[in-house]
Amino acid sequence: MLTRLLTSLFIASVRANPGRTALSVAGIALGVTLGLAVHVINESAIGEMQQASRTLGGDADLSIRAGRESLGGFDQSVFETVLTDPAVAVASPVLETDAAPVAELMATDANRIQRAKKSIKFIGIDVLRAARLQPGFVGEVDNTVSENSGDDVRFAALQPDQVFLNRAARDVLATLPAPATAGTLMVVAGPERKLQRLRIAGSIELAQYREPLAVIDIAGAQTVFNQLGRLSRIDLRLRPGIDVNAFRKRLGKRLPVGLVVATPEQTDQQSAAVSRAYRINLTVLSLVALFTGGFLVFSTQSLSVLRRRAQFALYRTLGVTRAELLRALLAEGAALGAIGGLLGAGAGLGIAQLALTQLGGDLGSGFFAGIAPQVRLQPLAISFFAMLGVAAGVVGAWLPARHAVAEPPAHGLKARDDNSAAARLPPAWVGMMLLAMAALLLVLPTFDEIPWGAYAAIACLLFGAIALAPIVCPRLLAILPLPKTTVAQLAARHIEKSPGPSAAAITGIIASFSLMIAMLVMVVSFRASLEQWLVGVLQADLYARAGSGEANALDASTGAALKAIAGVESVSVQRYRSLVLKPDRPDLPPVTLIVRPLNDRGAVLQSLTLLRRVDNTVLAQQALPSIWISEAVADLYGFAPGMKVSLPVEGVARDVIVGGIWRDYARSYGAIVMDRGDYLRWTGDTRINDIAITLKPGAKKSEVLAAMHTLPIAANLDFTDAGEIRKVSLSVFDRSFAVTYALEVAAILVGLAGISATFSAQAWSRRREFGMLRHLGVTRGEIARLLGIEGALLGALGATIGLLLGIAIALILIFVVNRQSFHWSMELHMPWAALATLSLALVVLTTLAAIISGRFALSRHAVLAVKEDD
Amino acid sequence: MLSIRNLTKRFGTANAPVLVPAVFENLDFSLAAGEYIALMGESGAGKSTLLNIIAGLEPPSNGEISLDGQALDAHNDQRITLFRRARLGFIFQAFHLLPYLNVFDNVALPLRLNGWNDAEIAARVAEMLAAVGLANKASALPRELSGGEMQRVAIARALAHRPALLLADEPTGNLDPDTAQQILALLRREIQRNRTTAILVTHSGIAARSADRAVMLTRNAIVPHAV
Repeated sequence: MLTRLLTSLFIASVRANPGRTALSVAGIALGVTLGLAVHVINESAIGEMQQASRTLGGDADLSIRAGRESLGGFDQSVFETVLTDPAVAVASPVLETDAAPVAELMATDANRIQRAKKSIKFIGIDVLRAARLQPGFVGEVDNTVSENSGDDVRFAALQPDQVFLNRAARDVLATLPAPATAGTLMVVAGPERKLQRLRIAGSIELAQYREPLAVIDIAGAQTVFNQLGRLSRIDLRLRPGIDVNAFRKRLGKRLPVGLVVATPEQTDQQSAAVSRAYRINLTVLSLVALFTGGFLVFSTQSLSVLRRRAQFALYRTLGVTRAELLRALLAEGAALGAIGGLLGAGAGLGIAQLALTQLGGDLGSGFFAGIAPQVRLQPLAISFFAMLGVAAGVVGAWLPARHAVAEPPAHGLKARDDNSAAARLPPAWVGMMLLAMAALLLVLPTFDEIPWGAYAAIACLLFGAIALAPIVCPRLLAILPLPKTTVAQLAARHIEKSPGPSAAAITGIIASFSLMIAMLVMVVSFRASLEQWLVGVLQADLYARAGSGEANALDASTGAALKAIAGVESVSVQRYRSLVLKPDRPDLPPVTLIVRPLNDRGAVLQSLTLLRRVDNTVLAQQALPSIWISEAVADLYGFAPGMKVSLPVEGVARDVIVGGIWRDYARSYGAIVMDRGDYLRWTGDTRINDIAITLKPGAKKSEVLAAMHTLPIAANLDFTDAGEIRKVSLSVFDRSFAVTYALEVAAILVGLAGISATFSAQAWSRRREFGMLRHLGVTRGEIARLLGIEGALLGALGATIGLLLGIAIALILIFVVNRQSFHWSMELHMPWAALATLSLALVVLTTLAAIISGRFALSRHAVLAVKEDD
Repeated sequence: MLSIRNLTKRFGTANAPVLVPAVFENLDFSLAAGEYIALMGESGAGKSTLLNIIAGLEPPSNGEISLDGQALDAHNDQRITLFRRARLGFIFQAFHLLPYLNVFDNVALPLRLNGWNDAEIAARVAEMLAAVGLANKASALPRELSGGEMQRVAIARALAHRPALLLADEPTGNLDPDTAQQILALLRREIQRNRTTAILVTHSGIAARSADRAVMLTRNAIVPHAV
């Protein structure tokens, strides 16, 4: 009976405020939509990557790697070691590399080639071994091709120049002009950039792998891609009964340093780890919209409770207990949240589906560029986000519900002072305690590489500031310049003496505006720091590279050939390798080793943004080579300037001294710069990946480029202008933050909707006040001005507190969250002009919102409300 | 001073006003300067509506109202509002003090609206608060006052700017009999002291007796009424 009564109460409330109720539901739905969509898109992309990795690994129990496959190859002698282990049932060596197929435009001119825009993953395998782990690698021989070539179809998979393609790889080939010889696939590979022809022997069907894939005999792959004696990984299946983890540890000790033995789960963790900080940041940001949605529920429920005070008092008088009333009001919030959560979950899945179809799996970070995953329905995640909607509804309804049940029924029955119901605000100590907690949380270390402490500190700071706002506002009001008119003074006094309703209006402003300011300051600081960094790292005029990975590594003579061209002042070559510094942490992504000439140790200062370093004279006294580590290496591996550490290079542990720490925005899991001379002495590996070219003063870039293109060695090399790289890098940065801008706009819209709802609510609850003022001869224009001034004052107060709070949150984002999530630091850059413009815009918007939403106060109903007796 | 001629009020839609019975029609009434009358009538007779029409808060369906020979035009909201600000005072049953202003500022409100300077306001508010016996409560907020005290503040506010006409709608409706008596006595005294013309709307014979004379509002006329 009681349930029915309270249900009818809720339905009546919804009917009385359909607009505001819809707004609350929409606010929650928006938050759930954004949160779930971001989560589903990211998880689908990760799932796709992991599925691809698992598909290629087949039924392997373990795999041996030396960092990233494309950069971290190792000597195939390791294979012999593993093969003889009695615990190993199957060992399958793999050489993996990416290469873009090409087409000849003129058969006589090797330089005239066209490269496909998309690369194909080449998997070099020993088909007899690999088939036992991944039968899908055994290709379906195309008999017509084999008959034409006269080869025995039975051995096609063993021929070193024959490849089997999946459908996606054939699609890539279809984008190129038809080759002169049918059934061939051409790539430019090796240090001499030779055109290599491979025969397409047939097809492979790996339903779970949707990216372009070519399977080739491992010996062929080693030859074509100039990787003789090298492997990317070895996949292992152990004999039944062997303890995988125990074997993993035992094998790890027997392998050369720098090799890692990982289970498929650990490989999954590693692929997820690369993008995890970015994904969590994005999810947290998308939940901001949900947070502001909770404020909308708070505003709506505050008004709704205010309007129904007399009804509640009557129910209480008739015997409804406090607990029953509280439950009913919280159930109202939960019902709004549930509706919003369900709508949001549906919309979130729809948006995720649309985004994945239209844009692929990358939300701008570049982590998942080129991946086109399908939506993976995750019932747990969907339920979680829908439940977050319910939680936002309940939390939003909590304070108004507490106020409603705390009021003595006698007061409610009289309902004279509309402000009293919302006047019970948290005491100052609550706000102070939250701020103190924020400070304490900031010193917490990361947990599982995620700065949960900093996120919690931001939440505490936000709630603390909101709790203190009613106390701070009157003090701020005293220093704000105000017109001396009666209307302006009335507006100021209302805000000062009615902290409850003012707080309800201002919390939404503070929450959304501060987060917007925080993101703006962080993004501007990041962008400015990135620009400075790019100027530092891109000191040459031109850069030449032949694609990423070992297959595309160039011979050092390429650099010498380019230097010989007229107009070239100097060239500087770079070599990239992938290192595993902690083999016992297979989940940790490998570190990039950047090898470059550093003959003059001081020269490193010019191109690296050095943050800390060992004094040059001290370094010169060291017998050991020095390395320069990025902040991520310092954070993740505990390296510090002056420290003697060991680097696993080509299976040998090399002692080095850490010369200093530099800033790197390109690799969040770490990079180490070392001198090329030291590297050559250790490895004899003369190959290079990048060439930085500095032109002579006055040399024309176009002429130098034209001369370079006449060199056979330059075939298939990409030459990029430093300015172009800077431009592209900044546009990638802007794109990666486009999603965050969209989320900010959503949050501010929800915040403004909240302001509008609150002003509308206040206009209704203050109708008798406005009616009395109209009786006293206050004109409609003056009432509108009163509302406008109140809106402007609340906007100004919200902007002031939001600005200060936003800057404080920005400092946490810049100096703690970014540092802990991505392991890079940045300088603080304050966009004062933008901050002033946004603050002014907020004041204008709140003024307009107050006037438009409060138009009820101008109506005849307000004049007649003085007769209402509630 | 106040002249009502041929006044009719009919509620209803703009399309079919004639089909709705009139609250009252063809009322004629006049009130001399300084006169204090009690307006009585049955519930629904239109007492408050008549007060709203006199105050220019509602337009009449027909007829004319003039104050000191000046016709009131309720259709010109700006003019009638400024007229109300300068010439009228109101006392409500539910007091309607601004909860966020203290007693002094509540009383000062009409003075500020009428452009009095700070010194004039201070003097006049002090005078009015002394007159209603609340000189020591100037800085109190309305929620700190009793019902009787709140109505005293409302009386001070209504008369502070020396209005030509005071309209009091059931000013003792929310008060106990003893307090009501005190308020009525105070109201009469202040009306006389300020030489204000006043209309007191009431159901109560006792309240009506505090006025100079009582009249009864019927559907067609305002007639003398013995209390």
